[in-house]
Amino acid sequence: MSQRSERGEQLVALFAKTIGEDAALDLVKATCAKLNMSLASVDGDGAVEVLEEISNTEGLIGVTARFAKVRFMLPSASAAAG
Amino acid sequence: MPTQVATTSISSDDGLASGIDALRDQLGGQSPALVMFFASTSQQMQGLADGLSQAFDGACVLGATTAGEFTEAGDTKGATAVIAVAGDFSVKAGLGENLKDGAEAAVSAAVQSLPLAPEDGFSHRTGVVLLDPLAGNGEEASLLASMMLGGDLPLAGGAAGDDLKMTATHVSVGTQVATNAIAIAVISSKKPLGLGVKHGHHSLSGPLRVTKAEGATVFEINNRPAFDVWAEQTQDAFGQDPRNLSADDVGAFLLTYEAGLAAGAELKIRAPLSKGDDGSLNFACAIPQGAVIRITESESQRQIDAAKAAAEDAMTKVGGDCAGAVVFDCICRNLILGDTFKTAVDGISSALGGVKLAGFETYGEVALDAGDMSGFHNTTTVLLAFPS
Repeated sequence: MSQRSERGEQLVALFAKTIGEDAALDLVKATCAKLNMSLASVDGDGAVEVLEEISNTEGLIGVTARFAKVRFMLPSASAAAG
Repeated sequence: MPTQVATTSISSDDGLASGIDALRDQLGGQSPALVMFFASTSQQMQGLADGLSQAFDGACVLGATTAGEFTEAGDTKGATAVIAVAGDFSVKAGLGENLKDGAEAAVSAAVQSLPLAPEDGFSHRTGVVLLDPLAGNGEEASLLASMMLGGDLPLAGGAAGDDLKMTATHVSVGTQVATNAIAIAVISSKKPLGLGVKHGHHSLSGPLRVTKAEGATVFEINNRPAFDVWAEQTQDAFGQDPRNLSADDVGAFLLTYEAGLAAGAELKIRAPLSKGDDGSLNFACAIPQGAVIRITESESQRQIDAAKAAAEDAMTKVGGDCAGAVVFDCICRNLILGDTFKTAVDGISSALGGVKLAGFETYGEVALDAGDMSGFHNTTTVLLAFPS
């Protein structure tokens, strides 16, 4: 398994809740690669870019990305999120 | 104003009037802010919606068809469970139709007149969702509901049922009853409501890869027809080959052996609702191609323990002082528990201090609390407790 930055871990984890870990890892890795990023080094700004890119996807995955962006923008949610 | 909760069970077409009288007696003259009814498909849902809305014309009246319904007195089939809540609450609701055509448009229609902040004089908001799971987009709808309501309010609810026919479910707001729809309400309150969530399922099979899927339909697992794989993996535990089941019995089988997605340390459960003639399985929400799942099962005691744990969780969140609760409980739990389902209901009521409660057996549950990233559940007890 390739290494992930803290933000990379968070990205995989948030999609895993909806589509499972394996599909989440595939999705986030592919999106990082498309944006010329590495899952091992993606930072906060990069994570937002990844979410914005995935938000353009139809269906559940796109909605999940949009939801995650909303959560990240809420100070209370950021403090509460595990 | 102290919270007053009333419940009743209506078992015949001519029982509505006496049910309304029973609710009024229990409320002791207080007018409810919220009335929720959970009706078997053998009941006249439009008549119930009309009658309850007329009787409690200041209340927000929400309804859903079920796969079973219950109050603290016990569970029934073919009846209607009703709960009425009076106290320091203000409730607004909306209905969005054509859910299957697009969750975003339906949710947007349902929330358009709902408050994005607690109403004047109130400090808290809680969302309640009732939706048609046969639309296949329960997770999307739940996340969109949360987003459109600001992203920061707890959300609880259930997917309507239809007594295991898997044909059509209905939800209602006021006198408006619809299929392929979503009902969303916002409860403004002076104290927080308590949301409890727990499931008691564990893995039965090893990892299985979804090799062909589109939306909420899984066509193939490990490159073989999905239902064939399901049947082979569950045959020993089920005690017979599921491929020999009649069409009427397949729904109950599928709701007993559901899919689990690995999500960190836990399993995210996804319910198959029906099978296609091509061996595909239709779920209550999307399962992406490439996902790795495990078929899950549970036992009676785990179900009873999970329900009690959900109630204890909710009780903590209302500071140990609960006036009553609404329970959204997966039908699979009733299928597993059978005659002992009442034991689970008793456990919930006991954990909440012996209060009144009403709920229904769902095809899926909605629960989204602070920090949660997924809102649609299966095989789960979701409980919304009202503070005293």
